[in-house]
Amino acid sequence: MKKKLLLTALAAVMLLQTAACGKPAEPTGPITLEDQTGRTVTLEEPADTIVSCYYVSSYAVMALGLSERMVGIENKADTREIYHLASPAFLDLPAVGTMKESNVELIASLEPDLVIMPVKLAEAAETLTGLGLDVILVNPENHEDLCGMLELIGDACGVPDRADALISYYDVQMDALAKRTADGDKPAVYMGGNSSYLTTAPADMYQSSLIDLAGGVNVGDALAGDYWTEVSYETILDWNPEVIVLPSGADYTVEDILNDKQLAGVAAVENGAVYAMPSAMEEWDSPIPSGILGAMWMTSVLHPDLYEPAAFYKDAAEFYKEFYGFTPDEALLK
Amino acid sequence: MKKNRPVPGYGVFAAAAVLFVLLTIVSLAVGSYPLTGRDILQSFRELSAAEPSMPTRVFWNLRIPRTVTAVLSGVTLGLCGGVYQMVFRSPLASPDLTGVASGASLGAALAIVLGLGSSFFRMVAAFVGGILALALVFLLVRFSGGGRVYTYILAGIITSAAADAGLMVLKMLADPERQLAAIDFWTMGSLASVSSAKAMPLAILTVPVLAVLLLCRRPVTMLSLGGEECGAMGLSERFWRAFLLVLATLAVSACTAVTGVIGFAGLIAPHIAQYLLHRRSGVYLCLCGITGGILLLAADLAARSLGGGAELPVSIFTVAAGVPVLIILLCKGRGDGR
Repeated sequence: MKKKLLLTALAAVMLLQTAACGKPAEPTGPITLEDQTGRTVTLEEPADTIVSCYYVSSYAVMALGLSERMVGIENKADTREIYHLASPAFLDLPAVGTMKESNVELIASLEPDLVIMPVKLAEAAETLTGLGLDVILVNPENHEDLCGMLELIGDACGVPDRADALISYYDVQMDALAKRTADGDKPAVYMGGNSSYLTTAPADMYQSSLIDLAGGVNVGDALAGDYWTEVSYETILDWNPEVIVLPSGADYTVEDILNDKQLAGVAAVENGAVYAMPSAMEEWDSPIPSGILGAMWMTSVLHPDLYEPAAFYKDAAEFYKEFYGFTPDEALLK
Repeated sequence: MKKNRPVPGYGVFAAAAVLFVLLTIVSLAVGSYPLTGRDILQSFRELSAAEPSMPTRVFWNLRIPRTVTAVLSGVTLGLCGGVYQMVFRSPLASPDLTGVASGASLGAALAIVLGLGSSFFRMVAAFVGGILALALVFLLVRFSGGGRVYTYILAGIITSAAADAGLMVLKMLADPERQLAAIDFWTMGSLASVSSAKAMPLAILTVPVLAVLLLCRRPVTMLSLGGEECGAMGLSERFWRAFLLVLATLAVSACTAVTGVIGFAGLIAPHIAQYLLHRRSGVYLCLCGITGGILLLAADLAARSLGGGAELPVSIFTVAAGVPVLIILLCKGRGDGR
């Protein structure tokens, strides 16, 4: 009941803010920020026009209700299904580069008030700063940094309340998940990597924290590291996970795993407990604004008795309605 | 002259063979899945069981294919490296001289970027890439009207460069989260995903080729002495060079398709063999193969044991072993152009 009241209150705040966000920001005086690499950036006023060079920051711009302020976006925007659904105007924006390279001259020609770049593009950021543009570098590698990025963009664009509302939603849901799974069994979970199921998430990777949040134990925690790590069939057989989860971006299917003779003895395969994280809209296994849905989905998979899939679909649809302004079909959430 | 001297190298060869066998046994015994000596004995008893136990399946379906792949790939890279260095009369020659590794990488990367998915298809694409690289080398040699050693080397450099450029384009096009990581994994070499389904075609391709190459020791030795020696013995230098090159490249392509690119093993093994034997005749080619096998078995053992459960790229270890060995040989003046 308490949760419902809080969500209703959040929804009301969001509704008011969404109305405000569509409009240009009100001048409020200079804004001084420290980006996620420690650089100090001062904006004369909240940014009205934004170039985002990284899909995660573009997602954040969307979730903060700032889509109309975007004037440039990362390459291959048309491959992101969420843009088609929530912000189709993104598809017509100039493509300014990839995570590896950015088109500095094109960005400069768009004369944005704010450029958002991943830390990998720090060198290009310095070049743009030298041209007189305001650039913030973001590094959303885990939940805390995701929240930090949302606050940073919210502050830069004059919508800090909107970022706070999103972060409050995460807190509420994370508390709810923790309470649901506090006392139950914690199944051993193996998460396959994007390119191959012979890579997995080690202890310090975001995906490991998702499993933990969802009331599971990541068998990959035995490995050190923070990026997909290659393992052998023998290692998986030795770990013998009860559940295998495929990430949203998997280049393989559940059937590939079930049909792999080398994995035939694994408990998850024998019990058919191999699940693909929904991938129709976004990559919920990544630290993106809707990433909380990844933990919620996984809870509904690991503990369907504690959190029914139907309840998850309803919560996920409400999330998209509140923060992205559209209600997805249930088929997109499966 | 040589007949009067005691035949050197057989002691060295025997010692290398013993080390090779020991490492093969260790490779069968060590892995992420804990297999005891009793498990391994049991797995022989359960060989024809309808429902074998998990240790038995691990031993027959994973551990043996991985060890067999390490042995075959190492022996192939080492022996073919020796053949290349003799045929081209260059200590710098290695199986990649014909651009086979670059071509195979391009094939594998193309399969990854096009989303052609399964590891088996990736293996086929890599093999085709390696063979196409060889075909391009021959085409260039033919168009140039040459056929001399340096023509092949130049054609190999051109082919490698072209394949590398293609690889760079594919890396640019690749999705950094998925495809790029997969390409990088592949180009660093690994035996982690080897099963009997991969080891079997590798064995079918490489074993006959290795046997033929060993039977061709005489023409290989003649080619290493130069065109005049070949002519005097009634051998066609051009035919034998092309024939041996095709065979060696075919085998190396098959290995690269299964394991990914394994750096330096094919270059370094012949140098070690020559250092130990002081000559490139007799058991030299066999020793090249055994040395390559030792290198790859040891590198794979390190790759599967030192990562704390994670699989490390095999090339890290073959290159790490190769660099100091080359430096030592350089300092001892062995890189004398033979």
